[in-house]
Amino acid sequence: MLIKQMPRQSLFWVFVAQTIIIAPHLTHLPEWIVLTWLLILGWRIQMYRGLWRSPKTIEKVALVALCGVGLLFGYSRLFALEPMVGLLVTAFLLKLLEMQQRKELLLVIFIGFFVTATQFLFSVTLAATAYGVISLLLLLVALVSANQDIRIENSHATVRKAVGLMLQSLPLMLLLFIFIPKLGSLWHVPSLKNIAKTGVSNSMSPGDFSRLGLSNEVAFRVTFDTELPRQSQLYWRGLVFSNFDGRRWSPISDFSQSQSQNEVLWAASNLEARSNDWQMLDIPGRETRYQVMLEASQQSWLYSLPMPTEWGGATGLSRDMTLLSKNPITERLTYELVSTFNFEFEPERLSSLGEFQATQLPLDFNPKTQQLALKWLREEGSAKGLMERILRLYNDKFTYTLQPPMLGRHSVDEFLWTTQKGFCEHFASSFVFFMRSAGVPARVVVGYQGGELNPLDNYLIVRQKDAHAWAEVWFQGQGWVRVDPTAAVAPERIEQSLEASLSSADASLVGGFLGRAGAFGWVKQLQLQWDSSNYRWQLWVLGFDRNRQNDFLKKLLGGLQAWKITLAFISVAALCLAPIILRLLWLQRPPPLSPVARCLLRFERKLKKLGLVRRKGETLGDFAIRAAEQHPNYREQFMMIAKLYERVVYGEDNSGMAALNIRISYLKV
Amino acid sequence: MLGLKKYLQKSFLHWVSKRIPAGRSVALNHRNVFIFPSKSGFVFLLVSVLVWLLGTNYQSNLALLCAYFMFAIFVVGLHHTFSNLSGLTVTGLSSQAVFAGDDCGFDIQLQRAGRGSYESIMLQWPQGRAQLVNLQKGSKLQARVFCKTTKRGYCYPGRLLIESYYPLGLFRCWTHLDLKVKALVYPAPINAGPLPKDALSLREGGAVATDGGEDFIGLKNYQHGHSLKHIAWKQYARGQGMLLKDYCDYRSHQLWLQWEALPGLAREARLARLCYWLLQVSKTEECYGLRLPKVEIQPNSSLQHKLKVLQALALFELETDNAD
Repeated sequence: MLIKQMPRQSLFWVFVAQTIIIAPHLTHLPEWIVLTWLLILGWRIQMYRGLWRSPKTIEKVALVALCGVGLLFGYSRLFALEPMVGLLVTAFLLKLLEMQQRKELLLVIFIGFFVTATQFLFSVTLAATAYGVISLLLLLVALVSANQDIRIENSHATVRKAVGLMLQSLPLMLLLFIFIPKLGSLWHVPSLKNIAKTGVSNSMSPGDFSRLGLSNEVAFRVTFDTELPRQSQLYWRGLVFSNFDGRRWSPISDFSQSQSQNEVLWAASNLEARSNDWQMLDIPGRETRYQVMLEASQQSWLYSLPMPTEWGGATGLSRDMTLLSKNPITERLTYELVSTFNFEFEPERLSSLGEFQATQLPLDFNPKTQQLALKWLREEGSAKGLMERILRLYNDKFTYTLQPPMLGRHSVDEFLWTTQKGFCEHFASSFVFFMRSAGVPARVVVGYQGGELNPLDNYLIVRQKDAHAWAEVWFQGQGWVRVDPTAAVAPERIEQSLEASLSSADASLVGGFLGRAGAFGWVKQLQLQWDSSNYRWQLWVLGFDRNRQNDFLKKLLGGLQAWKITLAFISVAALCLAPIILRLLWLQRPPPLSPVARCLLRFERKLKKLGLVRRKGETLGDFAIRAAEQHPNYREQFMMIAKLYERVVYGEDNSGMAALNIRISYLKV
Repeated sequence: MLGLKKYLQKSFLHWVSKRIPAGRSVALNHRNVFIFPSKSGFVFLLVSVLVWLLGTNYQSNLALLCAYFMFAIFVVGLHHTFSNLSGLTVTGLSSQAVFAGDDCGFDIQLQRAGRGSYESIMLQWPQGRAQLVNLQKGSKLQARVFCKTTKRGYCYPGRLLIESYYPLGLFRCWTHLDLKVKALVYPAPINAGPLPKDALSLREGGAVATDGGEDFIGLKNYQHGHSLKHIAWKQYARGQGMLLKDYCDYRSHQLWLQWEALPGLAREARLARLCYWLLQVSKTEECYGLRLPKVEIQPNSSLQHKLKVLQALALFELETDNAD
């Protein structure tokens, strides 16, 4: 039975660990838990200092009851992650106040491990992980000191022991992570409350994109397996908007409807079969292979370069050539795609429904634009001519700015003929409205344009500030053609970046503070470095899902047979544990023999050849005499060695050491 | 349930006694050290399984890593706990004699071969208090581990439990060693009042001493507390050390602590009272002897004599059942 008393030192470490562990949960914990925490921590610290008494049973019962009521009524949903964490944290706290014995202290520490693990469900960045590692280390320190003699107060050694234990267990941890098969969710779990996310949304009103321009947040990252396309080709299509209500652009219908209409191809192999019907023709040419890691957008569409020809898993291609996911993207998603830039999309004809959707307008809005569009069409004679004329107008008269003036009811009229200052959504919106007014099928496409290459790992970072809106116009024989009115007014936006296309005052707003700091070379370098480590972290650790695990093991072992995996696991585990065991054995090895003892051993070995063995307890002197009696011809040498030995050992005279060595070496038997 | 546990414990100890032979000095290694997860260790494993379920259900690789980390810590902790005992050499040293009912201390030496640090090792006799020791500096340490005694005779403390949970408390690593130690336990003295008159007897077969009174019978070593007037100053001056002139006063009463002085009492009761008288008498400087059935110790007043008498009381009629 272990001595039951609780070491003070360990209690101290538990205070520290608990504070560190609970801190990141403060963002979602209800206020009353925070208050309870402060109360309990304060009480316990006063107890630790010997100022306050421990709580009475009635007080403990009251606290538990209050917390129970708080948990029952404080959360809107009971069976979700947040209330579970709330319950855990509450248990973590109450146990801290109540514990008296060592084994209870251990229990508090174990709960701490669980609470730390739940933290990883809320945040998975590299920084959050480092924080989690520190939490785990503190828990280990507390655990080690909980098992120490209460009289020992050398916290330095305790921390060192904990760090040692942690480092020694990392290889085995990685091994388990790589080899243990990953299972899907065992039962349905309610996901986290939708967190408001910046990013492209499923509708577009004036001002939406200029707001995104202020955000430096990463939208997604792309690794290209093939050559990186030109900057001006990087149009990441997200959504197509065909509906316009005078102010807001939105998709034709909501997704559930379009999916139920079987308008989505869930497997790339179906593309072939439907390509006639859908009139998607990819003309043989350069293919671009790439992998997108999309941050959690809480939306269910994906971004792709036109036109995707191969896609996998739970994604599908919809009728308007955008990619959809079956479920909203609540966590980071990695998907691989192949796109081709040489394609024709519905070149022959539009379906009547498609044509209606691509030309519909709210008639009581923007009367001036509607009139002028028809007038200009008559003057130019063709849709192409009309398009060139409006683009020329943009180029001559318009300003590209992050801070456009506010627009009233007839937003397109005001923008086109009065303010003439705007951001991409103004240009896209007014352009499509204008073309539709002349009866030309056109639609708005939103997504991202461009991206920043991280030269360290050669991948593209696409940020929220790269959000963009452009247009697609349908021409007979050509199908849908991308037209970017922004390119007409600010070609730098497309060819370089947003910052390059804006006035210096505007450019300083791009990307918020972090974006601005990037103007300094070294800050930029640091940002790229950080992003690169984060990307690798996400790619290799967070993105190590079942598919990747299978791929990795297949590559490593040449197959996925159970015996191969087991064998590999056991051998690598042995490799991991061997150094630990060897080190522990090495620490236990007997101390090296002293030179004198080694001499003695050599002497005894030589005499053994003569059939003489020293008896237990016999001094070397006695032994030498006995040996000399049996082998008188060695008498001199034996006696000399014994004498020298005694001089070195008992006389503590080391000068005899060399002579002793030589004597023994020259003793030939 | 409790009976089953006791039975299992008993048969385990029986098995252990066959597996680990007794010895004054025992080196701990994988052959004689046992290790098994502690209760806390099982709870820890349970928590790691829960974390694994959390990570699997929420498809969170970090939570999974956390679960695997806990498991890895568990495995690494096993080796550390084991090596916190393995490599030690345990030796039973001396013990002190005590009166029955007192705690008897056995000196146990722990010696390490290498420079590995040994911490929080608990030593405990089956009937005794636990003693926590740490061996961090130096190559060995001595600890006095106490064992409760109940009756006179030799106290065989049984198998010494050596146990450690360090560093993580997830494993219990332990062994039971028979270190072949024993301690002499004297009868617990029971107050029997003053010495009865018939405990006194005259010197046998000799005339009453003449004037001058005290006969010099030899020298004995000085013990702290002895009267200064008996110091052999002549020998002291010659550099022979502090010696006492030992006298027996034949004129004075010669004391015999006698079995027959306590008629009608049981054996243990008689011994306890004799022990009490012995302690009383030994505080004076008088010579006393001991008479038990088949045992007689001639009167003397030295310390060695006192110990001899105590031993005789302790072992009276026990020789046969407790033969070494």
